[in-house]
Amino acid sequence: MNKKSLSIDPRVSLFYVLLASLFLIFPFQLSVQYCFFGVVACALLLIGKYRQVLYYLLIFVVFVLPIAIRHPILALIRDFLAIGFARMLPLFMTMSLAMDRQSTGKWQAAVAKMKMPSFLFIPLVVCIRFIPTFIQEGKQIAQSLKYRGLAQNWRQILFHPWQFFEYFVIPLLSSSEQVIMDLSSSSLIRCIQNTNTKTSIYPIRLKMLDYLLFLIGLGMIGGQLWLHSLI
Amino acid sequence: MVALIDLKNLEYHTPNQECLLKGIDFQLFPGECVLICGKSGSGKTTLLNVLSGLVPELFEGQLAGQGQMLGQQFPISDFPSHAEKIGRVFQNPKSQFFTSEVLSELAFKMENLGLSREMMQEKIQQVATFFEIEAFLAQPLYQLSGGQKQTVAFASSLLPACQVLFLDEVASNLDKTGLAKLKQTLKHLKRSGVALVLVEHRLDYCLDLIDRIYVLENGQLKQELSAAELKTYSANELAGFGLRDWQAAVNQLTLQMEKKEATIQLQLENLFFAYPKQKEKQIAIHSLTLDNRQIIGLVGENGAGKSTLVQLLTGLLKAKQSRITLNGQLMRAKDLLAQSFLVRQEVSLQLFFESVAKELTFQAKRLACYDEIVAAFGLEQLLSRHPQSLSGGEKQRVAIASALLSGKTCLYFDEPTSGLDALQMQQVSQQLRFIQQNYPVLIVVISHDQPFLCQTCDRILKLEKGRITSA
Repeated sequence: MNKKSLSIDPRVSLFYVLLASLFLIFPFQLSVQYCFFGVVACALLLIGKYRQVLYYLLIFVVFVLPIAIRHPILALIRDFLAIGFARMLPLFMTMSLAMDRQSTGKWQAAVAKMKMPSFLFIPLVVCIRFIPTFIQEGKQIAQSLKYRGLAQNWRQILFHPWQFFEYFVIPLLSSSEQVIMDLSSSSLIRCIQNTNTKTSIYPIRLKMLDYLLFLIGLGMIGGQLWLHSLI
Repeated sequence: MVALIDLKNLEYHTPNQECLLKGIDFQLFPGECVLICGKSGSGKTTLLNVLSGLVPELFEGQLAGQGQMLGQQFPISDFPSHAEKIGRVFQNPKSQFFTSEVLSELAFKMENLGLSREMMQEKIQQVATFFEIEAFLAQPLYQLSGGQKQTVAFASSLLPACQVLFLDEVASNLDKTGLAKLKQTLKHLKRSGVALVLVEHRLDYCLDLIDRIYVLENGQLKQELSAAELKTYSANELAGFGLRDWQAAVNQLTLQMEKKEATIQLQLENLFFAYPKQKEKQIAIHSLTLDNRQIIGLVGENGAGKSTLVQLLTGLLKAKQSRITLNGQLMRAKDLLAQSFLVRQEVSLQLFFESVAKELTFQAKRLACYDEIVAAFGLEQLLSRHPQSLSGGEKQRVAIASALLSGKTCLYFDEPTSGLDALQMQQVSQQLRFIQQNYPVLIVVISHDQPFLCQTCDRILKLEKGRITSA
């Protein structure tokens, strides 16, 4: 069993992922972005993701924080990196939050509780199901590449993206084709199409921490709208 | 007694008019166990797809025939109600899992049927206790060994109870304990009136259970036999039906030391490894010598550490402490990686190039033997094909040939015969023999396939909880 005691409801995680997507699309105030970073970092700490918070903090300090410092010479490169990371970082952080110990079963239960229609529910659940498969098969491919003397590092991926595509994506797609057929067959036989009310083995209930995070998230949207009205 | 399934003159054509099944009469009664066998590609899985209603629900095409399946006129019109009455275990357990951890996987069908949490917990507890998987309930599925995954897949097909259970090569990765549990469960199900439909190449665990056998050939029913009749057939005749010799499994494995001198010798001393997050999964080997005089089989219960040991021997994992030498030369993990090649069970994840020829020749150090190896593995006609477009057996031949051509001295094989029929198993066995006799290569095979091990390996290493107990 898990040793960690705190966990966040998948619905709140999903709300934060959507919020982070808003950061990616719309230019939010820096103060709101920093606040968001702080809240998600605290949430990650509460669920025991200390090492990840350290990495994100490092990225934040190196790439995002300098955006507040005005320097005329390196402004272009700095701003490019800073804006890019400032927008992307919340998304990665909230994804970490969403993936933490949330089995696909818990996600399904949470999504079902939101009364999502089945034409949205089934594809979403399949997407959630595929994330761990991609990760595991990606690891196996990386290991096989090592036997062939083709181990990939970030430099090779950056300078030879097509080679990376050939080595990683094609075997992954080929394997996924089989997985998709088996998965569809298995889920149909296990009554995924059933129109009765579905139940869940996991109790899905919002706790105090979930309500708090939800309110803080709403507060940040409100804060952004208020700041925007002042300008 | 009323038949659960009663079909006459079943025919199935794919949308491009390819005839996959023709003229099949099939009957299934409550509490009956029926085996569907035949060589690879004979239509066994397609017949299971029809019987389980996936044709035409998922696989399109034209179905013809008369009869009924679980009270519905054939072809069935209400698939969800049919699905409620059946269970199915697929060939590859990994790809049939819909969730990421054991508990939710066991609960999946019951959740879809709207059973209460208390009822689900009670049923899961019963099944988990019986299959001894309670310790894994909270564990992610990807952390389980192949056999443990297969056990979970089987256990989940039993929840909730069904009228007909379809099992497609369910025993391929199971160890002796797993097979015994499987047999015991099938016996119990049969007694309680559940009808069982097995697609199998192995008979060692299910021969006592089978009532009737349908032999398929090119999508047609070639023969219908009783279990008593099947027992009178010779190993060669069984191979003609795609079945393994059931008696080979009970033969003792005998050590057959080859006279030739060892040219490759891998020595391990004080090897110790433990996963950081799973301290109980340890490998501890005081001393072990492997050489190329024999083909070495690595056996052990599911989760004993076979795959971990191979990862350590190939340099993918680094042991906390060890002294590994190859022909007297001290090897670091990096050196082991340069000398090793692992042919996986899922070969499609290790084929990377646009043609078979390039796959074989990339960084090949035995190019002088290219023609001989291509001919030995029957790859002449496939050289210009994309490796991912090949069948499973062809992909495996390409992977083995590229391992050999790479010039590496230590070749490892992970369950190379999983899901193969008797003929294909013999071919893999012959290929490994060919390599061992003609090239200075150390061969280690992880397998649960007793007939294959009997036929292929000269030495068996048994691993128990990370320790070699028999060498």
